Amino acid sequence: MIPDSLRVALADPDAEVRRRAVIALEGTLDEDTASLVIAALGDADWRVRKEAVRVAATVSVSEVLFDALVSAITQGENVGLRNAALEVVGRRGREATEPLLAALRHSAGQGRKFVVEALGDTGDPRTVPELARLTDDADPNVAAAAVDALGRIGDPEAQRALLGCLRASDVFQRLAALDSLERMGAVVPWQALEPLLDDRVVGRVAVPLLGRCGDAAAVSHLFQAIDRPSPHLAAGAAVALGQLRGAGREAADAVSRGAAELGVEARSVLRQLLADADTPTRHACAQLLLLARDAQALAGVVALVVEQGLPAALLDAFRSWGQPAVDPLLELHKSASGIVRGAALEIAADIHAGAEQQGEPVDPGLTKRVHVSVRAAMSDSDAVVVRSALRSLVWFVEPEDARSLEALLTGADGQLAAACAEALTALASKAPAVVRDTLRPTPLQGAAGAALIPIIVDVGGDDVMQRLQTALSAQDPETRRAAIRGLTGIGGTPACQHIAFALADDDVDVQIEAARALGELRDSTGRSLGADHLLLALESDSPAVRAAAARALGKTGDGRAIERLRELVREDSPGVAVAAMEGLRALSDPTLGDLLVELLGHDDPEVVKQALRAIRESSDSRMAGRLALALEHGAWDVRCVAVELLRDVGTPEANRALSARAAHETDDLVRAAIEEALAGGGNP
Amino acid sequence: MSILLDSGPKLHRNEFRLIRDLINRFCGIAFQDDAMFLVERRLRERLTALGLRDYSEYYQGLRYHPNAQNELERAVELLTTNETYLFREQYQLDAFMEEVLPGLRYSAERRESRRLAIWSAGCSTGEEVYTLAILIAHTGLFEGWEVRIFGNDISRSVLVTARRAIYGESSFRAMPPEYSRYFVEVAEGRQVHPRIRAMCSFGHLNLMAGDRAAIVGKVDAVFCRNVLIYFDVASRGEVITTFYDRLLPGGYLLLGHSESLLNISTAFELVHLSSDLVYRRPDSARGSSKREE
Repeated sequence: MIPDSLRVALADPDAEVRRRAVIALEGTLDEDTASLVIAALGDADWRVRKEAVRVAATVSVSEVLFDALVSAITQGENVGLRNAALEVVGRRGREATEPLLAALRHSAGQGRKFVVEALGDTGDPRTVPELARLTDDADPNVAAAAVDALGRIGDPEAQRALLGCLRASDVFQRLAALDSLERMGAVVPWQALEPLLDDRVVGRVAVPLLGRCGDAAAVSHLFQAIDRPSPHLAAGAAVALGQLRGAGREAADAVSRGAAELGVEARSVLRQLLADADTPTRHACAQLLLLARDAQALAGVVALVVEQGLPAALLDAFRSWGQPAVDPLLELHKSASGIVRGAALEIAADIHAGAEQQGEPVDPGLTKRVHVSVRAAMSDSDAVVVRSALRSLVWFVEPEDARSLEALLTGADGQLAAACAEALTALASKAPAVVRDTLRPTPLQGAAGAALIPIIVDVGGDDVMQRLQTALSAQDPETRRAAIRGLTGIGGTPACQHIAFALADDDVDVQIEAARALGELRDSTGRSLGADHLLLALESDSPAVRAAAARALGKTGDGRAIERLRELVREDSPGVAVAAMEGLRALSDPTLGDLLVELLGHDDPEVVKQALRAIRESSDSRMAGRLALALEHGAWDVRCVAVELLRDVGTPEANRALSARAAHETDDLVRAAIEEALAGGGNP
Repeated sequence: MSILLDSGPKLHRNEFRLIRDLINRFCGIAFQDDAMFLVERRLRERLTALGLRDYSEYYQGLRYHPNAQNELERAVELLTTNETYLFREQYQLDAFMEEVLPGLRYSAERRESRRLAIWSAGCSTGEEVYTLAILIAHTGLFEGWEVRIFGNDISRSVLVTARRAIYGESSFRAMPPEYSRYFVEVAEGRQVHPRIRAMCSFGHLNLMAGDRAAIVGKVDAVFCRNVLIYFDVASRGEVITTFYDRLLPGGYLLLGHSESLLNISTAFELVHLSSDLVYRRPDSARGSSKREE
């Protein structure tokens, strides 16, 4: 029963009062009062209408409500009401199918068109046969609405019906079908698209579908589209060409040939899009311009790489340009500023080095220009450029660079130190003694300390152990952690003792590093050196250290840890429980069975995933059934792991469980994993 | 690591989804599937810095490490671009100065208050905060009032830049010359005048931490421009509810030019200004809710 005050509020002149009244209707609505929410769907204020849509979409199913919604959809006066009713239908989905199909039988004119639109909003594949029939309707508006609705249903049957519409005599019908197919992400074969391209307007709409058709024959049409005076069309064509380039050798070669022949105007359009368009279009334009060897585009392409990184397609386009790109990039390095200047140098050096590694003949003059530019940039005033130079130096670093590199390390921040270390690592592989002597006086602390320790261990020397011991007392935890890693590389009982002290470090990350290291250390017979220390570390106050120790104990193979790890699995901290499970799995605890079943109900998906993996490793005859239970888990990632493990099991029982889940799995990743598992037939 | 020969750990799709969902739950920012490459590239330096082998280990760290919250903040910093500049979207600032500010003064006076509070939500390196402070000072409407502009961001490093208040030339590309007097030349660029800086304060705040937003207090206007674009619909709804709670009745919400509350909230009314559309928390006392489309 709706209070009178609410009825009054729904008619109040103040929109805010009406909106609040609609919110108050929620939960009190019944069949008798559904008319109130329908009336609110036609309110003059959008806020009231939107609120009414939300309420109408959540109230329990009501025949009266649907009848009223259908009336609202078919009426002609109040556009706001109709749009709101369509939105409610869209939200209610399949529930609205039957009332709408019934309404279709006795509505006419505009009303019929609106019902067809609403059928599309339901997203219900059961509507496809009726919609497919309506694509031939005598009323062209109804036929067009049916094509559009099929596109929104998006099911394979709807796609088949739309492919049929591509052969329609009416050009608008063909256009609408193309548009719908494009929106549903359909792959339409070239043979179905080719006959449409004679019509210029239809050809424009077909551009995105041409990109997905995978056929080299579509390439020339797309390059023609770039030549037309429409940046929007050119953008679509560029993206489509980028997709075709990834569709196989023949199409890729056709795209490369077409790009090489791009005219002045087309290049200019692509450069503009490279600067202004959205990211996928910018990537596509960059690819085409690189294939076209367009030096004027390099600044824009490098800026894009700096901003967005370098996807494989763009990398491949750079490589296809090859050595001739190096000089233009060095020019850009001279003229650009900041990070683009550095990146241009780095790319030039990479391409040059790549050519040398491939055994291509390289012009010595070009090599000299690259080397001179890189070494000059090492003393640039911009730190970004210096880092790029150091990363480039990796390809051709020589012993005479050692002093410059060491000098740069003084006061270096983390990024600069890491770049110096890369160059020094490369040099160490050529001239270890030079690096050893150069770094002997360098203090191991700060960013440089952490970066240099792996190199110092690598080049060796009689003072390494002492230097690492000193580094364990460095002020910064990064260096202390690096020292632990260095000591692990050296190994042996003395190293183990030093690392064990680090379990008492004041920094938790140093303690974690120490625990990890202790799990790896072995004596000459392969026996763990760190297990005793790790058993003590399991009692640490820090859950993160207990977790690290639990994992590390798994690597030691020491069965003494099993009992304590079983206790830790039941800890409140899920991080510790996950690590303890990992430890127990590694130790092949033979008595895990019941505990694993218990853990399948754990709140944390990571714990459940570990339990599933342990179940898979067990020899329990109920294994597949237990794994199948996890296919109903609420977390997609748990279901994904269950699918992977069942695929690995590969028995008929496992496949039956996967097939059953496939019928109602909604997550795209899990669905794909199930389909792959079933297609592969599991593990033989 | 070479730019072209990229050889670091690879981010697998499952790992991407786990990390993406974690970040979404943490701060509402949502990445689409096509951002996987970007996420792989930008987070790789964290794997190197933390000595981790792969993104699964990084995910575990984001879940269970004692400093997980700090690491999540660092990840968000790396994944979101913060580039902004002074006097961005001039048409909106004109509307703010010429129509919103006089309205706010009138409303405050009606409440017998001489206090003006503005919140710049997701303020990045502070340009918007100082722009608003300069505009308020420039109008002269609030001389002798208690004026406070509060900027927040989830990234601590951008707040350091905001508090320094020193900007390079590119930050001034849209600033009309008459506002130059609100800056002083320093070695690294131009610094906001101390009088303007005194009106501004900054804080570290996750917009999804609804209760913590109470530290902002009640405000007359919220600027949240080009921030909600990073959020998914549900998170936008939560953030908008926070703004509603923080705004005084009749207070304004200003979004970026491509952002709206369509399908997010009906709680605000749309106000047509001469050069912009803005949202306002309804003020029943004013009886302002005329029927607006």
